[in-house]
Parts: sequence; C-alpha cells; structure tokens
Amino acid sequence: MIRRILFITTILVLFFISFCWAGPVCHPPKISEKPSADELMKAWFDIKFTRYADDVTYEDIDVIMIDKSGFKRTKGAARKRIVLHGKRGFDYKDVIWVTYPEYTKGLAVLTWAYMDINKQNDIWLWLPSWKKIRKVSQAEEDDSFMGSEFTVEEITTRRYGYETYKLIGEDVFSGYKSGWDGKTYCKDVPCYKIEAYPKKKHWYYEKRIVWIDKKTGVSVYEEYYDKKGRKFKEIFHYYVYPENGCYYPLFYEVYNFKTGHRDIIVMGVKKRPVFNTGISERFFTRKTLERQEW
Amino acid sequence: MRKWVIVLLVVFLPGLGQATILKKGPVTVEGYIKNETGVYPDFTKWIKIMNIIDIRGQYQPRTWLSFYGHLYKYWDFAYNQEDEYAPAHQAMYTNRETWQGISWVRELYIDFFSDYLDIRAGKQLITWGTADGIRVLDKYVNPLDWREFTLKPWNEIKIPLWMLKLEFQPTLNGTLQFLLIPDFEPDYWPAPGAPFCPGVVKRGVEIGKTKMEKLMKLSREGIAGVPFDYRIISEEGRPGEKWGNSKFGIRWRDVLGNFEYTLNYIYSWETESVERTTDIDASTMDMSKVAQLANIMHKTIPEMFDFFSMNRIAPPGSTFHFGQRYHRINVWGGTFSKTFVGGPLKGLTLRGEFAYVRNDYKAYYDKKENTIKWAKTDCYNYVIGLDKWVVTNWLASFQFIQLIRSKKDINGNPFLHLSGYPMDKVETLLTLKVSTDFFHERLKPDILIVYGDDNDWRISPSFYFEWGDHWTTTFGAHILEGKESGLHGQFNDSKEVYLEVKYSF
Repeated sequence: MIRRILFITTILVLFFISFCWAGPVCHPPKISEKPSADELMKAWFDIKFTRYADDVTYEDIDVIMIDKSGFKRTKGAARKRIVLHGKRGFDYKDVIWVTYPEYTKGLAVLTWAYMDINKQNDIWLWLPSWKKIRKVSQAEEDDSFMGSEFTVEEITTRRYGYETYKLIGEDVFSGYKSGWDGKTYCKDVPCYKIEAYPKKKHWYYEKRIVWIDKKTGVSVYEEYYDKKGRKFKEIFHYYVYPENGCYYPLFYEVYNFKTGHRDIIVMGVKKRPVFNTGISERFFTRKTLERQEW
Repeated sequence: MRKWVIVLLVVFLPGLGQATILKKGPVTVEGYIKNETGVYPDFTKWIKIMNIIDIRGQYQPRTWLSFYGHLYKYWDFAYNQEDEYAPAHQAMYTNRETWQGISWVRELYIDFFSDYLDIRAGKQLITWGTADGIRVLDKYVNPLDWREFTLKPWNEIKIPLWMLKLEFQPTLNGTLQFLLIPDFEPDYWPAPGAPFCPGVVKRGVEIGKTKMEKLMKLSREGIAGVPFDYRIISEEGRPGEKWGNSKFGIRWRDVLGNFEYTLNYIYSWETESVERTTDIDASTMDMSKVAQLANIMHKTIPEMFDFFSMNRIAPPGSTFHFGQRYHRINVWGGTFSKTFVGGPLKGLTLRGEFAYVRNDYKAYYDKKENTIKWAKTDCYNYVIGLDKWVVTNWLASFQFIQLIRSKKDINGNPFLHLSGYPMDKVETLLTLKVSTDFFHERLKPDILIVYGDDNDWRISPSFYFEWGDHWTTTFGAHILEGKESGLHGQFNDSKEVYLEVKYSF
C-alpha cells in the first residue's frame, strides 16, 4: 500500500514539474509601445545572436558570393552555438566548420565571446593542412567575413554598445528585391528607423541606418554610409517567425555599390536550425576541433 | 609518364564538370587531383613533376561514431627526366625495399566521441606543437618524409602511424590525452642524388662506400692470394613488433583565463638520427683459410690472430652485420599560448613550445677514425612566437627558435648538423611569416622568411588563387641560400620556382 502511494506521489510530482518547467525561453523580448533606440538595438542584438535561446545548431549554411560579372562561388559551413547568458563572464561560445569546397573543407573556428564588449573574443582555428589547432587573435573587425562583402564585425563581433543610436522616425519598408533569387521580401513592413554611429574613430563606415521591424525587432534592412554621405553598402536580413518556436534567419544578403559584389549567407533554407537541444558546454572546447577528420 | 597522363585524363575528365563532394546520408567522399611542378630558377633542371591523387571518405552512422579513410598516391616524374637523380631513382622508387613507410593509406581509423572521452584508433597523425615551420614536440610522435625537406605542409609529409588515442575530459576545459603507438616507422630520407638529400646522409654514404669498397676488395682478393670471402648481411634493425616497443605519450591541456598550456611526455624512439652499426661475427670464420694464410706468412695460428687484431682485419669467413640501432628516448615538454584580448597589447598572441630530450643519440664525426659515430647528449629545443594582425587582413607571425645541446662535441669531435657539417652547441633561427588576401579571399599571398644564425636563409613566397569551387593554383618559390654547411644553404642547388594546379571534387 505504502509503495503504491509512493509511486503515485512520484508520478504526480514528475507531472507537476514537467508542467511547470516550460524550458528555456525561445523568443525575443516584446517591443514596448514607444521604444527607445537603445531598446530596439538591444532587441535586435539579442535576436541576431540567438540570446533568447540556450543553444542553436545550423547544419547547412551556404555563403554564396557573386561578383559584378555574375561569377558565383559557394562556401558551405555548419555552426553550433551555446548561449551562456553571462555565466563566468561569457556571452556565448560557438564552433563553425567549413564543409565546402574541398580545398577549404575542415577549417574550423572555435570562438568564446565575453559579456564585456571591450574584450576581444578568444579564437582557436583548426588548420586542416597542418592538422593542428592554432590560437589566434580576433581578426580585425573591418576584415572580410569568409571573403564576402560582410565584415567580421557585421557577422560575428558587433555588440550592442559598439555604436551610439538615435531613433529618427518610423516608415514602411518598401521591400527588398533579392539579387539571389529575384524575389521581393518584406514588402510594406512597418519599421522604426535608427541611425547608428560607430564609437571607433576612422571606421569603415560613418553611419548606418537600421530599419527595425516594429513587430519582431528584427533589423530587416541596413544602409551603410561613408564620410561623404554616400550609401556604399546595404544589408538585408530575412527571418521567419514561428508562433511557437524560435525566430530564425533564412538568409542575410549584402550588396556593395562600389564593387558590385553581392553575397548571401543562406542559413535556414536547406535545413531549419535547431534550438535548445541541450548541447553541453563541454562541446565548445579544443577537443571538439581535434575531432575534425579533414 | 605519358601512360599516366592518359590514365588520369580518361578516368577523371568525364566527371570534371559535375564532380563535387559526394554526401549521401552518413557517407561523404571527396578528394583532389593535383600537379606540382618545380623547376630550378634558370630552368635547367626539374626539381619535381608530381601528379597526386588524394581521396578521403567518411562513414558516420551516428554522431558519436565515425569511420574515416584517406588514400594518397603520387608519382614524381622528375626522377625519370634528370640523369643526376638516377641513383636516387633506383634507391627511392625502383627498389621496393626502400618504399617502406610511404604507404598509399595515409589515414584509416575509427572514432568514438562523447562529452567525457574521445577515442580514435587506427592509422593517424598527431600534432602537439604550436610552432610553424619546425617540429619541436611533434618530431617525437610521427616521423617525417624528408623527400622535399620541410617545404610542404606537415600534414603531407608526416608519416602516419597505427595507434590508439584516448582523450579524457575530466574538467570543462582540461583534457588528458594518452597515446599508445605500437607501430614503428623511421624517418624517410631521400637517397644521394635526390634534390633534397641532406648532407649528413651524403657524407655517411660516402664514408660507408669507401669502407665497403675496401672490405669487398679484401673479401675478394684477400692477403697473399687467399681470399677472405666475408659474409655480408644488411639488417634494418627495426625494433621488434611487441607491446614493450610501443611509444607511449601523455598530454595534459588546460585553459587558465586567456592562458592555455599543455604538458607533454612521450617515451619514444629516436628516428631522425639513427645509429649505423657494424657487428662482426667471427664465429663463422674459416679456420682452414686462417691456417693456409699462417702457413704462407710463416706464422703460428695465435700470431695470425695477433696480426688480424693489430691490423684491424676480420678473420677470413667472418660475417659482417651492417645495421641500424634505434634508441629509446624520454621527451618532456610543453606548449603555451596567450592572446591579449584587452589592454595595450590587445590583439597580440604570444605562444611557445619547449622540449627536453634526455640522452638523445646524435651523430658526430670521428676525425681519427674517419667515421661517423653516435653519442648521447641532452637536447633543449624551444620556440617563442608572436602573431598579430597588423592592418585589417595582414597577419604577421614572428618566431625565435633555439636548438641547444648539452655537449658541443665528443672528445673534440663536433656533433653533426643535418648538412653534415659541425653543428654549434646553440643553433638560433628566426622566422617571419606575413600573409594577407585580396579579391574576397581568392588571392592569398604569403611569404615565409627563415634566417639561421650562420647567415643561412630560406625565403618562400607564394601566391594561392581560387578560380572557382573546384580549381586552385599556387605559384611560388623556395629560395634556399647560405653556406654548404647551413641547414638551407646545403640545398643551394635545389632552389625552385613551382606551380601547383589542383582540381578538387
């Protein structure tokens, strides 16, 4: 009899615990009615670095590079990230593996990012041709990301706090015609417009205008201006917003008006990213880099 | 050569248009074909004309289980083209005996992954070091194929070994690695006549050849018309295949803040400087010939033996065992690297590597006996390196290297450098590598400069270009300058301008 009571009690307690524990939060914070520029940019920063989730896995990323003559090159990659929410001073840790083409396949990058925005990331490279791990300094932030028109800062290092922000108004985004597939995305999306000025002196842009989707907090469109006030680059972010899941990007696209280059990072098209699978922090160490066969 | 070109074209051309990495479920297959052509800068001789096929495959039925294989095969046609390489061609390519250690199978292993333990069992390569362009710790794990000196990436010239690797992760960032290497391979040296045959090998062969000629003459002609008819046996002298002859390695690795370090130990074999031995077995002597000689020379048998001893001559019918003796060595070492992520040194990476080898066996030249001998000396080798992105995408990497021996000489006879000339007690090298990229990382130029303290130089510029998703080319040079006694100067005649064309699939 006592055993039966204990068994039923255990089942009820487990049921109650599973009911109460809703798992990690997997959506961005809600945008307030009258948000400030800082609040909007913070929201976008959290979305971009999936800081509302505990971990994320992108199994099939393509970086497509198209020059002004139309010549196309593709690089493939996979990525895993764990978000540490400030634990021991860490923001996140992630690993990227290059999977295509053969001549760069195997290159892997382990990054540890800190909450302190003045601290550079710790980075280790797995170099396939030397079969060894190399501790490296973070690349200069204005350097190209994987040979594309995106800079390292735009994809991996820019944090909330790198710039000063000013809300300059509201507007309806007229849509972005992708040079990748020719389709128009995000037509008539109501947006907040924010001007962002880099804190670094003599930086590669003078200011940028960021179009933040009023409903989701995603930066759908960014315009980059040089010292003479000329727009030299545009970046488009296309996200999907599942009702009961995490927001995730389908692709980022950049176009440089000076060089005529267009690059697209396709993330969630072939395989949808997977969130909150409970990856251990132990995975984000050099032992994982040494698993590389290539 | 034509035959192989035709075979390559027939096999690969039809697929070139569509070929790409094959990935189907848990199976991945990929590879490349490549031509590497190197020529002396005045275009008077070929340094290499290599065609290479490389194929790799993986079967990964589970995320924690993987099977991996890697085949690599090359043909170097320069040896057919240049008369001066003929002796080396025979020794290195025609004679199957000397092919040992250079297998088609580069890697073949099974992996098991988990949060706390990774296991890799099979033929594989291990890297412990952090230094560029020089092996400090790594030279005691995998031996090296020296056919192209150290001008190629280590991954292509290290000789893989069958081994078991266990990697425990008892703490979040700390790992303890165990290596059990029952396989044995010596370093592979190019034969005299080959473009990169080091001086010490040439010198050893010259001395050996003179001695062998004398011995053969004595064996054939003998003394006073009595031939000595020696028996000559050549033995490789590899350690026997038993567990006790395995290499054992252990490495602890951890991160403390931004400082990471490893502590390493390996119970290994000296495979780079192998002792050559000559053992004489007099038990097979021909007493009838000794008696015949004693009769002719009007000596008694004991006087005859005194005569042999005084003149350092083995009695007739003796057996000569020419062999090699591999010595066990204990190696302790470590590595560190520290990246400055803030403060005035922000962006700088400082790294180092150190190895202490107790009782290493090294070659020295015995002037009195005109022979090369081997003796024990302790070795301390270390590298300090600095890396920094200087302007956006320009990476500069500087290294200070010292190779130190506890003894300068043995009874006034200096230890020998790889060049075959006396080596300083302390050898210092400086290296500088600068690399960058242009055109969206399609063009990647770099230059490596190595300076040795005896005005010895290596300058290796290269320009790598990606034509698309499949084709890449590398155009470069290896300028090796210095005295004949120098590490690089000894290869003055093998400097090269090269072009590599690679098709990946």
